[in-house]
Amino acid sequence: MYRNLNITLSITLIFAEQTLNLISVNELTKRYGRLEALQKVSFTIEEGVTGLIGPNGAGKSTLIKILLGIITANQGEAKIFGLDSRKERSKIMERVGVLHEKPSLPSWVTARQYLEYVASLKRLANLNEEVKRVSEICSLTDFIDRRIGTFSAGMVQRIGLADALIGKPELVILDEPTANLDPLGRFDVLTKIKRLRDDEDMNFLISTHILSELEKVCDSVIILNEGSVLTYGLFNELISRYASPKYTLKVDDPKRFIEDISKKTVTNIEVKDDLILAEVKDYAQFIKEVNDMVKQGVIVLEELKPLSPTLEDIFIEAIRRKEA
Amino acid sequence: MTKNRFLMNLTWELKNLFRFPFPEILLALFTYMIFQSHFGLFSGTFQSLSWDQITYDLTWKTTYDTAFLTLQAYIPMAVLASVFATLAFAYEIENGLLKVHFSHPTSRRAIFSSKFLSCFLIIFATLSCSLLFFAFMYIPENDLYLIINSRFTLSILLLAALESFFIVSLTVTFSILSKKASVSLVGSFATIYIIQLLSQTENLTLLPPRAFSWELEFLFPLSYIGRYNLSMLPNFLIMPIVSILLTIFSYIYFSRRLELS
Repeated sequence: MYRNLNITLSITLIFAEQTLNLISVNELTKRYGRLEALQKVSFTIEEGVTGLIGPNGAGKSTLIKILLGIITANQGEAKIFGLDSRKERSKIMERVGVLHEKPSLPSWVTARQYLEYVASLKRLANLNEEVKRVSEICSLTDFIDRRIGTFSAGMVQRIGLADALIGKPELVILDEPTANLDPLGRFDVLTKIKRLRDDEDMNFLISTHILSELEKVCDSVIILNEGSVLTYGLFNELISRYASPKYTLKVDDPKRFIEDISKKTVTNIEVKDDLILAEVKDYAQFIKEVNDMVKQGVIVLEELKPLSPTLEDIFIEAIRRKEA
Repeated sequence: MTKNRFLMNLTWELKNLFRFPFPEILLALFTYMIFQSHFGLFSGTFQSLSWDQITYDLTWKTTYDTAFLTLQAYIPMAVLASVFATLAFAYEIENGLLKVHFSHPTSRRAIFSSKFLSCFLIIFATLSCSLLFFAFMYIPENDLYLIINSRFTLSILLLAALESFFIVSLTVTFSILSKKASVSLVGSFATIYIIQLLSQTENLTLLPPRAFSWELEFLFPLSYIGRYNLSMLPNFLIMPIVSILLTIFSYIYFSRRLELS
């Protein structure tokens, strides 16, 4: 009886482990002739919002295309929900929504006709209601009966987003979701992503190179550079792993402070608008030196604040470490 | 009951291709064929007035005229097929529409089948309409023949199907391999046109469109003697086999090898 219980427990644990990984990529390699677009890329993605970042040509779009079964990898495997991305593409797509970079949509139909077609492919019972729901989310209600050919690039982007959200997919893959949108539209999309994650438990994989936008919504990050993964993990983990602590100080004599502080305690120090921005190497030593300066009357300290590192800082630091 | 995804795709593809004004296309095709034709009224051979003689004469003329019409329709059909295959495949590959299509829950097999079938149905419907129009409207004797022997209609439809199948399989294969709308449009038509020029030489009678004369000689004896001319079977099979091979090749390439940028 105990043996049976053990087996059941093990199977449940294995199942639970499999369901946690939304995406798992193992030793993925893709070559275009002599160019290696992806070099043995491996990572796993769990629930939440994951950012896929990297400079142009890093391999982000290639990776997304392999995940969607649009192109085939030369080596390795990619799985979504534990299903092979190439062999079981149709099954995966029933649970995944996709927005491609600069999506190309049929110009000869109305937004409603297109979204109803997508909803029917996902075998949804009430097409009208679903189209109404996603068009409200993407602010398309007033334009839903207009032909797609008459829309601006930003509006096409919104239809693409509505297409991705049809059927409340478990995972939404967005390739440059804020491209073609004005600042207000960008803010709107990011707010909606946050809301869908919190209210509908939807998971997102967002590929972008606008890091300042991504850090507002993402829980974890994958950094790609020149076809390989520099690092990946939860955003908070990466902050502690990569970003050197930064502090802002306001003192009466910034020049004197910069001259007197030991170069061993900071990696970089600069003055911007009377504020000193210090990238600290040895925190304990730095605080001790600042204390000593204040006690000796060398400087008058008005303010000392830690500065939280941005995604851009992590990205630059990850690339710097790789090059080093 | 939920509708089959293949049928949904097929409906979508037909809507896509029916953006074009079909009545105008048919009208242009009929006009082209009327100007290209040199049919005279059937007269003078009814002198013997025997039923067998009349039937034989009608059969001969109908067969000859239909063969002529099939050859006449070949080039306009090739132009149409190049346009439709390009719209259904190469244009969508080039503009990223197919990439978006692949991101929906439908298999590559269903997408290929629906696109191929929609191209075939449109070409087949156009060709059948023009062949039947000529066989039964433009050549008045055929109205009588239709009353005598309705199997003739089926033979015409089968002939139209074989010709449409060949043209569509060739243009679709070219379209998928080229991946560019302009190359597909010009290239597939040029290939068909070059094959047509080659078929006019004496030794290459098995190339289309002359090869369809063999199809005709195999099919039409059924209309008046009630059985096929089996000696023509090997020649009859060449075009369907070539078409099937092209379709299988394009299907495998599309469903397994095609990579989108």
